[in-house]
Amino acid sequence: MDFIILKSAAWLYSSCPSSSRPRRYVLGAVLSMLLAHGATAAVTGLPASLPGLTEVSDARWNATAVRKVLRTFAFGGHATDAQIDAWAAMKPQRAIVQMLTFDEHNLLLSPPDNSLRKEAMRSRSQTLHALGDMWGLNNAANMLEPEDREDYLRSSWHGAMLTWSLAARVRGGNPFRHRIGYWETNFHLAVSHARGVSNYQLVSYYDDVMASLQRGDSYDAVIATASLSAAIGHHYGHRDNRYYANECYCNEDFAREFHQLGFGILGVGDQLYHERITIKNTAAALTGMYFVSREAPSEWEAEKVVFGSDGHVPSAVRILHRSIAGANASEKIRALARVDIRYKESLDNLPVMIVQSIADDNISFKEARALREAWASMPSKDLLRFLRAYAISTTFHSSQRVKQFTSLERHMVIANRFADTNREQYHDVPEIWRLYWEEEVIPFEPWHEVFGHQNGPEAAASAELFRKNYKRATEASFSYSVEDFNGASRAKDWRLLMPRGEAYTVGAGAEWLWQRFIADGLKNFGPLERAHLYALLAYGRDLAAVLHPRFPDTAVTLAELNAPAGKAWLAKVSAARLPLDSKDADIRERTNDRMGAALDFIIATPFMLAEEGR
Amino acid sequence: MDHQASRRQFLRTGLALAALVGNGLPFGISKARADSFAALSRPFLANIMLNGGPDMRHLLMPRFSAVTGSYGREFWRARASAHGADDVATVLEQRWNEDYLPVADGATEFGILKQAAWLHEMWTAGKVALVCGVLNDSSRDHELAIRSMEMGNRLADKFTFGSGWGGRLAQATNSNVIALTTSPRRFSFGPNPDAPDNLSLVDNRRMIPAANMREIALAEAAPDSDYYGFDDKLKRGLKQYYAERRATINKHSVYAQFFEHERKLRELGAVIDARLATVPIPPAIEALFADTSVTGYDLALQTRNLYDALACNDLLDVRIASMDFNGWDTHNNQREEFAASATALFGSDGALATLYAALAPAVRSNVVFQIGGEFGRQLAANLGGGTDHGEGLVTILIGDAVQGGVYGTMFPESEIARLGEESAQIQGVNAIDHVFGRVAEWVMPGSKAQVFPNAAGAPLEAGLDLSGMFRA
Repeated sequence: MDFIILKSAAWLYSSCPSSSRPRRYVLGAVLSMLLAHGATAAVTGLPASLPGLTEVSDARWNATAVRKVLRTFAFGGHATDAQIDAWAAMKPQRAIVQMLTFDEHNLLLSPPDNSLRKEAMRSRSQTLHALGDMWGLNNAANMLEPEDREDYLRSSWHGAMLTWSLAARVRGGNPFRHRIGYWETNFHLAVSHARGVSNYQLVSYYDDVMASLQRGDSYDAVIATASLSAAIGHHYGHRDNRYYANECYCNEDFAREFHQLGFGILGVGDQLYHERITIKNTAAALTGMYFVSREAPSEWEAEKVVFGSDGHVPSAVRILHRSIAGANASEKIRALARVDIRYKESLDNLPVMIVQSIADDNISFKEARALREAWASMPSKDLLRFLRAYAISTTFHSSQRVKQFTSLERHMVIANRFADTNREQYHDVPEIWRLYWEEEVIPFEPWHEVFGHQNGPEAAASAELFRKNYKRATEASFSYSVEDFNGASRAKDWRLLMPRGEAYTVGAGAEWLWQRFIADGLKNFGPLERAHLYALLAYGRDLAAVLHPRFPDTAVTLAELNAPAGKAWLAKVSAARLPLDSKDADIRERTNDRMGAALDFIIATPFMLAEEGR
Repeated sequence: MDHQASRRQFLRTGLALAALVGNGLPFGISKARADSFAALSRPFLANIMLNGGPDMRHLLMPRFSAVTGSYGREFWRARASAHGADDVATVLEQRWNEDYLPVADGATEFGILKQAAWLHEMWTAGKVALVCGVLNDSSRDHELAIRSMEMGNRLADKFTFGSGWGGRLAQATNSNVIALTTSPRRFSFGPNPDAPDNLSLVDNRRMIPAANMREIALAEAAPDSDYYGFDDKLKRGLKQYYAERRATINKHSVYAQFFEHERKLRELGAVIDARLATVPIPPAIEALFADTSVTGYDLALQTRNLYDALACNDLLDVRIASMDFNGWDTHNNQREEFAASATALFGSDGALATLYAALAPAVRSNVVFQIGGEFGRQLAANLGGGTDHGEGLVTILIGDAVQGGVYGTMFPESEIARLGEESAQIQGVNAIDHVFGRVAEWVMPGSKAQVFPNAAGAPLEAGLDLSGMFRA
């Protein structure tokens, strides 16, 4: 029934003329309420466009555009091909409010795994706290191997990072929410488990920030929530800062980074005041915090902060040329955040920082100006609205945009686009372990500590990471389609993800696989890529072994493939049947193995490591 | 002026590695196999970046004095919190006695933190130069200061990108720079050889990425390829794919850098593997891996990499290495944190001591370690047990070729009057252009102008002569 109501409401919403904005907002709100009821993605009443950012045309808003948004903002997501086509068929403004939400569940972006009914992920809380409890404890809904469960507990060393990693990959949750959560806590205001921040603090930090975003708090309030967390207080060491008798027994580490990392304010042009007044007084404002445990076993690991007046600077303080009042650190920092977010330097830098570290390594002056205009246009800064407007803008869908993927983004995209069931994630068939232990990228242990985790440009510049990704691919782990799940054999069946067309063919299968993982509209899927994938899919062999069987070490050239004989071979093999639906189990297994090998090949190409715009 | 990088600038810098396509292997690479650890007959610079802005005044404290008003008393008073001590003369004197090994250079008396026992040993042997009051960047912003330092460009702003001074030095010496970190530091990014004076242009053909010298080669298909498994089929297919596709990729494309990675790893891997098969890892270096912390393991790996890079220096035609070590941003708990880091790097069983001992005398006589962070700290400690960001730093040079001593004023008396000022910092007065320029001159006489084209007019303390920093 929900579905019928939602469809009707969605139709009403979309059928309203854009000039009838009040009515649209009312309907939007109604729809939002209905969606929040749990059936599918929430839709806010605010339009997903902002001044400065030009909405991409309907003609350019196609399935590839949708896939690029999901690849960048949602670790690829779990949306079905049909859903992607449906979003592509909508107006971008309509589609994006379904695609990107901060709700705990977005069942269009991440349809539930209906094969695991007991798990009921679609209705289970997606906070790290709740998921850690679910995966860490023995219960009938928990599909993790029993011996793995305790690793997910907050009392376990890697509890927070393992829980986050799985939360971002399970169907029935919301990978966009976790992608942004990762950015907020591992880049924007990063803290490190390796620096002693406890799992209790990490989980509380993450959940509080995400709850603030989900509520639609103004972005200054989100940053203030993060800044006042136990995790930040512990990492930077101001948890013990006290102010007594006009002396600040404190450090100014976070006092500087609150402005610089939080809001992009460096004090340029006002350096002396910034150093001697703003930072000193912000340090004073960050005094008088007391940590108490909710469930952490010690005060050292405590996740809750009580803001006292004892040990806190008693008067208002001058910061950024304004008087910042408040009885305790919480009141002062929240007041200060409202000043920072409107500060000229922040208005200039913060929107560029956000987009630069999430979506574009190549922001031009003109694009930066557009982002600033969009950001400035919002009286109350709304991160979600900003990201949505950017994601459907010509700025994002620009041929000049460059995104170099971090190790984590690459692994997450592969895992999400590969798995058809949560059980594959629980048994780590996509081999996320390689991210942690081979590429040494561990969530909540950022490479650069408070300056953030491994970023795209440094991942791309690293020949070592290239080698490790290449090694992974050439170990051909995806080509083993039969997996053991708790003693039961489970064979990968790519038909569960591939749309059922007229028939499975090598050419269609190769294109589908490429687009599913690379999402470039086949722009880089030239004759050479096709030929290599066709050889694997049709023959289970490498290309040279197929075309040069007596001389398999002699590479097949593009010239060969572009010659008439080469073109004829490509055409013939493209049309060959891909027997994924064979009645013979051995043939099905062999074909699924080949699909996995083709994926291994794709993963090792440069196009899995970065993307260019349209 | 808006400082946002233009797209053109980005393509020239941020995608630096893309410019490599078609350039082939780094210059001078020899494919000929040569057994055993190579001789080293030329100066070799190992640049070690200590990220975080290390408080060198904690590593190198002035001799304590009980005389009120003296530098030795007032500085210790201002730094009491960072030593976990109250401002009580007897307590501070105890810290001095317990935590420092006293040394002197003329009238300058100071102590070296006890955990840095090897540094003290090398100082005593006359093989440590301490260049004081070094000026890099004044923003107190880690990211910008690190970038400025690595570029050797004090004039860089938040959105200035370009080549590193190690890369420019490689260009000047007509050799290569080897990057031993997981991701190459900007220090090793080279200049465009067609416009070497343009600091914003990058060309990395002389940069060898070697995050793990013992695992650098890409997997090759076995001669007796497994018919059933896909491993060898993928190895062979991908090797051929990269070789063929490389020719059609736009060299300004973001993807070009990956083709270059593939080529360097495949071709260098074979060269390095062959050499290192004949060079066992010294047990003492292997033992460094017992430190399983992230920074400890990383330092151990880079140390082993440097050993291996020196073993292959002839094959790789490399004269400069790039390393780093994190964990020096000590806003609180400085005494404990600094002690741990100093032990790992400078301790008697630490990374540098172990490496130095493992090298044959003829090799180490040509190696100089150049060590420092991106900025110094403030004069006074905060009251939270640490120190906050400042400006002037100390560059440490260690090696047989170094003429030991203090260069520049280590403890300016004028600081006494500023100890009570808000945010007063150790001042930078000796521009990196001159300090590192002198290092460049040691590696290759006549190279300073090419590596530091902005040196003219850069500040230098009156009377400071850096020409004697290396032995003749």
